[in-house]
This record gives sequence, structure tokens and C-alpha cells, in this order.
Amino acid sequence: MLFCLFQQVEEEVVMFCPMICREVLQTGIGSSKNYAIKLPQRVNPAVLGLILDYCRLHQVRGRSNKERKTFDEKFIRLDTKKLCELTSGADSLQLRPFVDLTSRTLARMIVGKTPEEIRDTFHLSDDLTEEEKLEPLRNRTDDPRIRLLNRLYARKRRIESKRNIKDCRD
Amino acid sequence: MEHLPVEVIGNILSRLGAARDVVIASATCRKWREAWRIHLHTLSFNSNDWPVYHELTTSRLEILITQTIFQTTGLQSLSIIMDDVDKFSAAPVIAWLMYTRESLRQLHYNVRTSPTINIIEKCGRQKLEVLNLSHNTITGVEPSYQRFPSLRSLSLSHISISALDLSYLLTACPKVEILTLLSLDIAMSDAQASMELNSPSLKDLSVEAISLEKFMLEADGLEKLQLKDCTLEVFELIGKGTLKLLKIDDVSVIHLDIGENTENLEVVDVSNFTIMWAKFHNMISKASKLRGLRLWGVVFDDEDEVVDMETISVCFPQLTHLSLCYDLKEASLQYSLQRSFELKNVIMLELGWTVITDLFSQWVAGLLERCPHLRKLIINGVVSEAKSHEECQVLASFTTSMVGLMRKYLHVDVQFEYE
Repeated sequence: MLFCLFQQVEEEVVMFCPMICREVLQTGIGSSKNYAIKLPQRVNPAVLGLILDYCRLHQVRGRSNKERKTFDEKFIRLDTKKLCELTSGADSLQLRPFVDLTSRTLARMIVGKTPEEIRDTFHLSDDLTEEEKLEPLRNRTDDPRIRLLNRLYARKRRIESKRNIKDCRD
Repeated sequence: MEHLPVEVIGNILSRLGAARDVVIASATCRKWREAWRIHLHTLSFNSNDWPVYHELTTSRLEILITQTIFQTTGLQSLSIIMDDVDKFSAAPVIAWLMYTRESLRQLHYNVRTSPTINIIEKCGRQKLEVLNLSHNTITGVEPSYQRFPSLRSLSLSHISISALDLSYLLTACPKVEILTLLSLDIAMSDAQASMELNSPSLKDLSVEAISLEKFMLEADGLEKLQLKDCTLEVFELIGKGTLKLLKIDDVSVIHLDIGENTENLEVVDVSNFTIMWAKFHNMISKASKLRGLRLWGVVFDDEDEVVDMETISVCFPQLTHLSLCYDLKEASLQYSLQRSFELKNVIMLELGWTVITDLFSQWVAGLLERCPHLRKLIINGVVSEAKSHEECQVLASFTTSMVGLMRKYLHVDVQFEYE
């Protein structure tokens, strides 16, 4: 059992997180209440509980892939705020498969929405100026590669128009 | 959301895939814009994603793709799949490839370019892991300086390439594990009648819709070989007996050689194929570890030849999955049902007919008797559109006999699939 945030946690479960695993192996941290594993800021007790649930199910042998899939599906029906906290916590613990799972779910929530709807769902602040919002659609001619392309297009258009004039005359 | 680092947001946006969704998401707030500009790693332009793609002119589409790609940094996976675009101009395509050259790990591209460009030469090669090219031409492969040191998976479909260039290309990919060839237009010089490929790292080869005289493959680590809809005179595999899966579907080949060493074969799946039983048996008889055998819609070269069930039970004692569908002949069926043999480990049996006859129910009964540990039985039948009275009668008597038969085997789960 390891000590983590004043809780006792099963060793194999916590060692599933690469970051914790490294720290425990390198510094011997977690052996007692006074020398508990310090979790990153982004991992609060609720998030830790959920992450441990995930680790427990995926780490323990004898669980079939089907069971794991059903667990994952139930898991990701949380609200966006919780999912974001989970993604954040899992990322700080470097738990890659879990980050991928939550990221995929969050991506599904973004598809098909307008920017306003996305801002509502994820409580994002509307901090882009009107001009900045239009930027992706503007013709960006300051990039040297785009200028080169424009020159190539211009040349192509000149050649085409010369050919057209020639065809008309003939 | 405030707590999520911008790289994680970039990761989330990368999972959106479709370029349009990503651009819309990037217009929400400053942090997401930064994520899109700097941390996006996957971008996809697929004509199925957005109906407006079909309405844009080709040059407008080229500009759109260029402007979008050029706003990202360090793109790792780029996918441009435009089904109804005839040709892109060479200049923008070269621009996209050069812009992503340093970081690209996956490229999926299916549009012709005018004038033709050598995609192999222009794309990033160092980090490329997956290359999926369609509807293009590959020429002038130089394996000495055009190397793909990280490429694991190569897929070429509807590509024009010479046999020599294809073999050079494979040499230039020292770590390639998966190779998929679909509908290639292979040019051969007069002097060279055969295509010879050599890849010590190759594990999985899938060939479809190819027509050649001679195809020789030297692959010491090959585990999966799949041939579909091919016309070959000779196919020869030279290896170290690592093959685990062999799948042949609708292939016309006069001489097929997968080597002497077939000890590691686990699955053999042959369908719509003309077999010379003696030769076929010779080819796979040493596969004592075989777990799955499927002979579906097979026709025997010699009218008198049959599938010898007794030999199958002896040669493949560890067989667990057996699927059979071929024309049953009265004499040979009676003969084989008289033999006492057991398929001890078969747990799944799939039997099918193309034209149903009364022999079929006898066959099912006979095989059921010989599979003591059977758990699942699948009956797969073809029912013709114009159902003659006779066919209906045969089907009815089959159904009746099945009901009676399955009462004896209550522990077996039976499933019917008719097409």
C-alpha cells in the first residue's frame, strides 16, 4: 500500500501511472503517511478517485476486453467539466491511454457545433477580437511560401490567357 | 477547461480529424487558437466530411487546403482524400508536402497531380511511419538516397509503377511491416517477366486485383499473406516458415508455392478457388498447429477429387474452426461417412451450400457426429431468387431433418445465414 494525499492506495494500481511509478522507484516516496506521494496540482481527491477506478479495472488481470470497453463507455458519460478535470489530471500523471479516451470523448462533443455553442459547452471566454476571428479566412499573403504560390498561379494564368488569345485568333 | 494545458487541447482538436471542424473550434477563444496553431498534430481533408467540398472549384479547394495547412505547425498526420477531384496542380501539392516535411509521420493522399510529381521524392521521409497513396504514378525510385527509415505501413492502390521500382521502394523501407497492394498497374520491361520483392521485415502482405505472370516474394518474417482477385501464373514465397495466416480468395494461379516449412500455419482460408487436392494437401499437410481451416466455394481440378475429411482430422489435430462449402458428390460422401475419424477439438463448424441437395443434411449429420466438442454450428445457404418448387421441397426437407438432428445435440448453438 502506498500513501497518497492522506489516502492509502493499492500499490499496483498507483504504479500504473508512469509519473508516480518513476518517483516511487527513484525516491522511495509513498512509504509512510509523513512521506506521502505529492500529487500534481491538477489532481484533486475526486479526480484521483476516478483515475484509480480506471487504473484498477485496466490493470487487474482477468478482466476481459469487453468488460473494459463497457466500463470505459459508462465512464465517459460524465459532464464536460468533470471530463476536462479528468483529462487534466490524467495528463499531469502521464496516463496516456486515459488521456486518449477522455480526449476522444471531448472531441465528439465539439463536432458539428458552432463556435458559440462550443464556448457555451466548455465555458470558454470569448476573448478573440472580431478581426482575429476572421483571420483564418483571410488571404494571408505575408508568408513567403504563399507569395511563391501566388506568383506561380499568376504565371500559369498568364500562360493560359495567352493560349486562349492564340486560340481565338486561329 | 482553464486547467487544461494548451498541448492537451491540441491533442483534443487533433482527434476531430476533419479540417473544417478544427478551424471552427479554433475560432472560439485565444487558447484554442494557440492550440490549433502550434499543437495540432492531425489534419484531414476528406470529401465525405463536408458537402461544400463538392461545390468548390479545384483551384479554390487548393487555396483552402494551402491556407489551412500553412496555419499549423509541426503537423504529424495529413490526410487529403478527395474522391471527386480529377487533378490538383503540382505547385500546391508540392507546397503542402514541403511545409510538413520535417514533422510528417502519416500521409494519406489520393488525388492525381498535373503535371505528375514524384510524391515519394517530395514528401518527408525521415519520420514517415504510414504512407497511403492512391491514384498516382511512382517512377524513378532511388533506394540509395530516398530512404524511409521509419516506415511501418505502406499502402498503394490504383498506382502505376514498374516492377523494378516497386522492389526498389521496398528495399528503401527497411522497417516496413505491412504492405497493401490494390489494383496496381505494373509495368514490366520485356526482359523481365517477373516481379521480385524482398523484405526481411515484412509481416503482413495483402494483394488485391493484380495481374502478373510471375510474383516472387522473399520475406523471412512473413506472418500473414492474403491474395484476392488476382491472376497469376506463378506465386512463390521464399521464407523461413513464419507464415501464420494464408488467405486466398478468387485467385487464378497455376503454380502456388508457400515453401516447405508450413509448421507455423494457424489459419488457412481458401475461397472461390480451383484446387488440385493432392498438391494442396502437400502444401499444408505439415501444418500441425492449424487452428482454422476454411474451404469455401472451392472446385476440384480433377472431377474425382474430394476433400478428404479423414486426412484433415489426422493432419490437423488442433483444428478448432472448420468451414466447408463445396459440391457434394454421393459416392465420395458415402465413403467418407463410413470412415471412422474424429475432429476432436473442433468447436465451431460452418457448412454451406451454393445449390442445395438432399446430400447436404446427410453431410451435416455425419460431421456433427464426428465433432464431440462442438459448441457452435453455422449453416450458410444460398437461396436463389427464382425459387422452383423442387428447391422449396428440398429446403423444406432439409429444415425438417435439421430440427430432428439438433434435438440430439442440444448443447450446440445453431445459426442459419441465408443469402
